[in-house]
Amino acid sequence: MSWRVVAREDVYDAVRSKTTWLAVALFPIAFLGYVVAHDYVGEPNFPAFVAGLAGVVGVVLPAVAILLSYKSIADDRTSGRLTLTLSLPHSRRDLAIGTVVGRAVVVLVPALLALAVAGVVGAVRFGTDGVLWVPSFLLASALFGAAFVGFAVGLSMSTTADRWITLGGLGGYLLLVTFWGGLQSATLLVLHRFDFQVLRDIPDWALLFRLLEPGESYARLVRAGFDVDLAGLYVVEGAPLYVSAPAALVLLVAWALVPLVVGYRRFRASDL
Amino acid sequence: MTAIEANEVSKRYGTVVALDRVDLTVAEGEIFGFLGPNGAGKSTFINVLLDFVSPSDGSVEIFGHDCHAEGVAARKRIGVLPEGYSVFERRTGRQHLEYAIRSKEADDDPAEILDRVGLDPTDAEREASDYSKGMAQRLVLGMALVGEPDLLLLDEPTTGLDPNGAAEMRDIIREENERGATVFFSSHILEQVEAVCDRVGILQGGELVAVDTIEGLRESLGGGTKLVITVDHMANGTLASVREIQGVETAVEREESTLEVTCTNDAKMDILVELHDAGVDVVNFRTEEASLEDMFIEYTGTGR
Repeated sequence: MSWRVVAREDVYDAVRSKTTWLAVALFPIAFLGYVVAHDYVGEPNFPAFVAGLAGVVGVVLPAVAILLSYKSIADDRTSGRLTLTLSLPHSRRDLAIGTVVGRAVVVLVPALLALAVAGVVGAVRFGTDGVLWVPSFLLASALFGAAFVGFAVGLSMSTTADRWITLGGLGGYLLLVTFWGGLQSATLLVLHRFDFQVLRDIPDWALLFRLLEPGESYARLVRAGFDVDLAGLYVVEGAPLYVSAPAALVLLVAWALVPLVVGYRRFRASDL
Repeated sequence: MTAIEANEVSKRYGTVVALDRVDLTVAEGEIFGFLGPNGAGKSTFINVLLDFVSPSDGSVEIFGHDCHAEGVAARKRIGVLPEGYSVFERRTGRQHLEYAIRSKEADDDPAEILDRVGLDPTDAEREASDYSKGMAQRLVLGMALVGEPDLLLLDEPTTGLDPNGAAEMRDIIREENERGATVFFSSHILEQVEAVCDRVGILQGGELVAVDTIEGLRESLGGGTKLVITVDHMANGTLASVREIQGVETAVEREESTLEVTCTNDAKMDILVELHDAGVDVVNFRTEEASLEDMFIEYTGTGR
C-alpha cells in the first residue's frame, strides 16, 4: 500500500509548485468565464449551458491534465529524484499508482471545484431545469480528466527521451482533442470515394470510431444526463449498443488504463 | 544468514560488459568495502542490488530475498545512500527524513537523525535543493539510517565530504555496525576502506579480481615491502627500468624525486644498483609495509 505515501508526496510537491497553480488557475477562468459567455453563445436554459460548459471542459481539461502529468516520472528519472524514491521500499508499481493518483487529485480537485461553482452560478442564471444531473456531469468530467492523466503518466513512464515525451504530449492532445473528428471524416470520405453524403449518414461502425475520441465519449456521457444535442448522433433510433452510454464509460476507463499499463510495462522492464 | 549473495551476476550493455560473472557473499555483521577505480562497475553492481538495473545473467539476494522478484521485501531491510541521486525540490531536509520515515513505516525522530549526521536545526528547515553536495550526502545518509536497517548500502558515501566529514561518516559506519548492521560500501578512495572494513572486494573492469581481508591481501603480496627512495634527480626512463627488475611489483613517482617501489625483499638491492647504474644518486631511502593503496594499484593496474 505504499502508493499512498508516494501519492501524498506527489500532491504535496505539486501544491508547492508555481506551475501547478498557474495551470489550474485556467479552470476557474475558463469555466466561470463561460458562465458569462453563455449569454452570447447559447440558449438561456440549464441543459444548454451544461452542454456549452462541457465543450469548454473538453478543450481545457485535457490540456491541463497533460501539462501537469506528461513529464511526471520521466523528469524524476532523469534528474535522479527517482533514485532516491526507489531506494526506499517502494515498488515501481507503487510509484506508478501513486503518481497517477497524485496527479489526478492535483488536476481534478480544482477542476471539479471550479465546475461546481460554475454549475451553481449557471443554475442561478439559467434556471434549475436538470440540475439534479450535475453530480453525474461532474463524475463524467472527472473520468474524462482521469483519462488524460492516465495517458500522460503512461507516456512519462514509457521513455526518458525528452523529445518523444514532448511530441507524445502535444501529439496526443492534437490527435485526441483537435483532429480526431476531422480524421474520421477524412477516413470515411476516402473509404466512400468522396461521396459527401456519407458525412450526413454516418455508418454505425464509424460512430464507434468517433466515440473512441475521449471528448466524444465524454459528450456521450453528458448527454446521458442532459437532453442536449452534443451527442445526438448516438441516440437516434436504432443506434447500436456499442455507442451507448455504458460503452462511452468503458472507453474512457480504457483511455485512462491502457496507456498507463503499456507505459508501466515498459518502465518495469527498463533500467533506471 | 548471508546479507548479500550474488551468483554469477553479469550485466552487458550491447557489447560493453559492465559486470562479468560476479560471485560475492557478504555475511551478516560484516563491514565490506567494495573497491575499484571509477567505471569498474561498482555502481552497476549496487544498482542491481537495488533493482534499478536488471542483470543480464545471474541473480542477487539480500537476506534471502531476490532483488528483482522481491525488490520491496529486500529494500525493506536496507538503508541506501545511492549514487547519482538528486534531492526533492521544495522540501526541507526535515521533510526528506519524514518521507523516509513514512516510507519505511518507522518511528524515528527526524531531529535526532539530522543531529547524528551533522545537520543542525537551521539546515533542517532549509530547502534541501539549496544544500551543498556534502550536506545532501549527509541528508541522504540520514534517510538511509531511518528504521535501523539491517544492511547499509552506501555508494561512494564520502563524495563531497571534507576529511572531517569523511571521518564522521566512518564513525557512523562503525556505530551502525556495532548496533548489528551489515555495511556494504563502495569507494575508490582506499584509506576509507582500509580504515573500517573487515573484508574488501576489488572490482576491475567488471570482474571481481580479489576478495579478502586486508591482512589476507597483504599476505598475498608475498610479504611485500615498500621502498621509499629519495633521489637527487629523476632521469628519463628510470622508472621504466626499475619496473623491469625481477621482483618489482609496482614503481611510482610520488612527488619530485621520490620513488615508491613495492617489491620482494630480495629485489631491494637490485633496485639501488639499477638506480646507480642509471646515474641517479640516492639521497635517502627507507622501507615501509605495503599499504592497501599499493595493493590496489597492483590489482587494478592504475599506476599513476
